[in-house]
Amino acid sequence: MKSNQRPVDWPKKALFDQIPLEIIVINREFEIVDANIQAKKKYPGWRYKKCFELYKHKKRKCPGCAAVKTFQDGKTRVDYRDNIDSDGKIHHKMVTVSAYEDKDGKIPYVIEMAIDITDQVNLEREYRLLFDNVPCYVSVIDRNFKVVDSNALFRNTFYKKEARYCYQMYKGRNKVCTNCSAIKAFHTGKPYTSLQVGLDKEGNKTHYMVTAAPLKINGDTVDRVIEMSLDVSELIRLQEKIKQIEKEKLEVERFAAVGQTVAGLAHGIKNILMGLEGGMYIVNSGLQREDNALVSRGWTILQSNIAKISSVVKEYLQFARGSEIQVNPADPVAIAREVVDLFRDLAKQSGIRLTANLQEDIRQAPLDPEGIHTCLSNLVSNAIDACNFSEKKRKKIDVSCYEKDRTITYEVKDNGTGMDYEVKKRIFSNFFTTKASGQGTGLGLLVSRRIIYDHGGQITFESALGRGSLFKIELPRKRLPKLRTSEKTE
Amino acid sequence: MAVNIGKLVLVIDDEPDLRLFIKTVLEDAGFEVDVAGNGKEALERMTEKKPDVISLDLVMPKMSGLKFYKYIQKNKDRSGIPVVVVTAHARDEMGQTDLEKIRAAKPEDGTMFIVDKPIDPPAYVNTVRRALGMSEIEPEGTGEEDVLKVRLKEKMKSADKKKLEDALKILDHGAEGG
Repeated sequence: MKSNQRPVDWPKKALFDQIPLEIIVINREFEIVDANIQAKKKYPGWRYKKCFELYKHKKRKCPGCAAVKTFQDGKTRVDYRDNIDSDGKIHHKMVTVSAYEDKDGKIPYVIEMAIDITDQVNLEREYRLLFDNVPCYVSVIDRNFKVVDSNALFRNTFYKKEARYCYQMYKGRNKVCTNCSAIKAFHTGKPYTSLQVGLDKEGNKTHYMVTAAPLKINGDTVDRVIEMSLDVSELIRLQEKIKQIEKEKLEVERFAAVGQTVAGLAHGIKNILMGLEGGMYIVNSGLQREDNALVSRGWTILQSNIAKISSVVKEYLQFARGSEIQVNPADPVAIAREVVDLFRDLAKQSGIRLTANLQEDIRQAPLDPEGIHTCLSNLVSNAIDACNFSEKKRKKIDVSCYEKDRTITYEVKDNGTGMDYEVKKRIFSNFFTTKASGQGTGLGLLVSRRIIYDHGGQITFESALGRGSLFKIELPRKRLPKLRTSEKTE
Repeated sequence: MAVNIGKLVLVIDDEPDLRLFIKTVLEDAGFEVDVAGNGKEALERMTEKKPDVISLDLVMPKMSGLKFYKYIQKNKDRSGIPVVVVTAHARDEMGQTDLEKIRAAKPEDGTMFIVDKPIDPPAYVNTVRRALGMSEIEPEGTGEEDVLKVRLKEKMKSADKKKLEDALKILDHGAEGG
């Protein structure tokens, strides 16, 4: 032991111990000749140990040892090391190595001041891990939009030769993008998000949602911005697919409605033919029996069925003509009001109280006002019939129009006869009428349904025998047809 | 009009025109006919006079044919009456379910026939006859005898009253002689 070589007095001992660094003093043999309390605590067996033995459990000097160089040139160095501490674990250290010069200018000692940066290193590693593995494109840009750091996913997706700036990499363009989130982040120091379309290295369109967040704040200025982009291409594709599917669904529904209408028509014509055959048979039979009353009854049947033909043809023509709805911006409430006004007298004559319950502030919508008018007229007319069949004293019909959840809804509610299960089942399915011959063709609701389907809406009902019926037309705004003018520009 | 068979058919149909048509067809075939516009009315008719066979419309507002049928099955006296179900919906989905239901509601020893609308008078009459366990009437065919009948009919169109009476006498005599 060379205890005599130890510096006799350390003038600022207290300070030496209190500095929050592990300080050791080594001689030219790399033996530790002094240590402050911080170091002593970490390395209880420090005294006169060789530093490489103590720190690294090694027998030889470390390659590239900073102390060796400082012993040579007297310069102060910063070195990063992994030391094995008394807890047996590896600790990352940042070590400042300084020379102690004696009055002859020789360097008998080197002072090593170490700070434990294990936590910081781990944090940085975690951050890096996150940076590299987060399923986002991550890039860090400076104020010139130059990419100074990026993760692998970003590079793998957007790598372009010679590209240095984020707009070059993301989009292959030569100027800063319009609506750039990073500019805002640089200016305000706050994060911004926007939706962008980029080009990947194969030239495919890539939709991404980018959040630009200020990363480094130097006084009042933001030096760096981190751009984190989430690939939403798949989402956008799905969104477009859903739109397409909805459009197709609407088409299918329209076709179905047409199909049912045709089936309904055929059924209606069959009914009329049956009526004609029956009428003829009765007339023949009456003639044979010389029963004038029977002849006359058969004749009436023939007449009513012929009348039916003309009304079916008329309605069918109307239906066929109206196959393309004429869409214009229309006031949904005004249509309801017109219909209520139209039926006011008829309802009064039948002793029915017809009321209107119309929400006033509904915006205009692309509708076929005549078509909607026809539907509502059909429903109100049916409601009046249902009331006329009823034996109730207080008959009433309420027409309402309101908008909820961006769906325009019409309701026609009556307290008439209502429908039983049998009627309910067939109400839209066929040329079904419960009205006496010659009074109804059964086309009204079919026509109504066609018109509503063409508007992308639906018509439904609730009914209870003896209590009344409620017919509901629902028109979601997002499914309404587009105006013709806007169709042209598409 | 044919000779009265002495059987009563109750025709239940909500359509007055069809009701009259069916009634006329059955009367022409020699049946007695009672009519009802709905199930309730039919029950009243049945209490007045029990029919030998029921012609039942399957689809009617208020009380459907199915409901009516199920109702009369509860009564032993009525459940034995043969039923001819008349339907225009045999081929569509909704009519099918009703048909299946009414078939299912039929007791094992019950008699039920299904007739499609539109009604073909001879076929319908034969179905009613079968329901009653009667023989069917052969439709006019193209056999030798039929050809003669057709020719006779042609002649009948242009014949006066006297000639027709003479022809009738010959036919009556021939029948007696045979």
